[in-house]
Amino acid sequence: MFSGYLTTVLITIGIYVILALSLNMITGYAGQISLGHAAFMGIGAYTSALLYTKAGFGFWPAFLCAGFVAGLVGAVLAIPCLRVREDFLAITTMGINFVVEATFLYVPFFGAGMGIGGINPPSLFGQEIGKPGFLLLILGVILAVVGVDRWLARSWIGLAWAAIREDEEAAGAMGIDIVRFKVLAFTLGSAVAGLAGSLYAHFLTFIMPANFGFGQSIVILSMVVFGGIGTLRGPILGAIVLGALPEISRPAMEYRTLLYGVLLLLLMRFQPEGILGEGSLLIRGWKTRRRSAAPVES
Amino acid sequence: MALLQIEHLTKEFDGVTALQDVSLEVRQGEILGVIGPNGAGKTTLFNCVMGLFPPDRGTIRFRGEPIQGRKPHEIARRGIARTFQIVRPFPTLSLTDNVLVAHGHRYYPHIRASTAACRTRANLDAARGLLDRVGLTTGHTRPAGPLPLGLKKRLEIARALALNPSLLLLDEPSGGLRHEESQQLLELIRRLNQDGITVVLIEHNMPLVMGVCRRLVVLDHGVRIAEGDPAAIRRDPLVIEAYLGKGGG
Repeated sequence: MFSGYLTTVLITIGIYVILALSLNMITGYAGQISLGHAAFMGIGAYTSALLYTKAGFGFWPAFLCAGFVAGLVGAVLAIPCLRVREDFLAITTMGINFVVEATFLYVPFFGAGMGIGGINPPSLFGQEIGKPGFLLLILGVILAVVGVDRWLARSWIGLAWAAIREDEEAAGAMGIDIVRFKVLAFTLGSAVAGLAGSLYAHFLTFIMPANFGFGQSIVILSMVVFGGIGTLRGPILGAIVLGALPEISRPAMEYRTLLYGVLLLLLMRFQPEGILGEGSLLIRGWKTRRRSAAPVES
Repeated sequence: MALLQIEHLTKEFDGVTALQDVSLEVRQGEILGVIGPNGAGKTTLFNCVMGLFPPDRGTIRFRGEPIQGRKPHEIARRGIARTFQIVRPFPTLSLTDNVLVAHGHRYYPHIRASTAACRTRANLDAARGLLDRVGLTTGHTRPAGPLPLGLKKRLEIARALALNPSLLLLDEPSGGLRHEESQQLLELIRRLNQDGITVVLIEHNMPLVMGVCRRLVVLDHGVRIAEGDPAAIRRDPLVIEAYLGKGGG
């Protein structure tokens, strides 16, 4: 159906969609800025890779453990993040990213600078699922994450996160246990990033510490911010556009970081809510058109 | 027994004493006024009661149980609600969602219960009921941010009521409002009090507070300098001095 190259690109974009959605839970819904999200992707990737190559786990248990371990580490690392807000939180999460990356890089157990290789793609009933199968797997995970996302957004958890994002002190006075709900956001977001990391490792079959550095965190954050932070559609669109861009144009690949940086600057200046955020030009225009088409409003 | 009993409360910030050995009680069913010049420690008193920071010394009892040092959400769940001196609604959330946030206080302690859908018909009806009760009868789906100040203050009261409080702490509800707006807000406060909610009112506006409270406590520089009915407070030489300076009055 698809050429091998196109499938590869779609799988990569799909993994970024999962990562963008997971960061959106922490930064978009709960309002806790994170500049170190790639650390949790890395923890998932390394958990899965080590369990698979050293402990003899199959892909599926290794995949689930990757989510579990990343969520657990996310919960523990959320603790130093609880007492700080905004700019200090940004620096703390960035520091976490550097520490995690350095751990992969300098501890021989994690393969150090050599990384970990020989991570096979997943199999089903003794058969490798191949690239089209992998793409289906990614789509399945995206659907599941979107389902969880919608369910959270409709629940008291989503409302509590929104309150904390808007005004932490007022949220506390409304009976919301700030610590508990922040830790919950970091745990869930990190767990989903861990799952994405596991998929990433089994797709590339070889991982290195540099895959999960600060630059990767910025790429994920750019996608969330570009599309529209705090919405469901925004991070998905952001991951698709910014994920496809380097594949479509060669210069975009070479100047990827520069391009993302310039995009972020332009957005912050002209569309701080992202292309598809609540107050963005596109969404406002669409709403006005709908309203003029249906003039009766209650 | 007093609903809220504060004894020997002291709070310092970097060596500056914001509250010094303050004792006062709030009686069930009353509207107590807390007045005093700027920087007298009125808001610090509220913040201590609400658990924003623990007092350095002293005790705060609510229904006889000590609550000092507890976290804000624990105190809110026990039935003490507040509004803020500078209004703080959740700006991008709709009016109903603003009230729902507080309505959820009974679900937040349990992870299982907090995974339930929050905008159910029953919950939305409860939220709209509270908005109607404070006089916000239209525009419930609009975000709270662009609301005029007077309506934001009403929204904060609706949100506080969603906690089902037995004690309501109002921090300068009339601040920044026109005369008739403050009068209407006071009318609302009186009505809530008649419905059984005990109210503590921080106020700057003396005539206003004299009209609605039968008992007043006066703070000055973190010290409680007087307590009594409005007539007595008006004659109290310490109060006159605090407000007008020595040799005034």
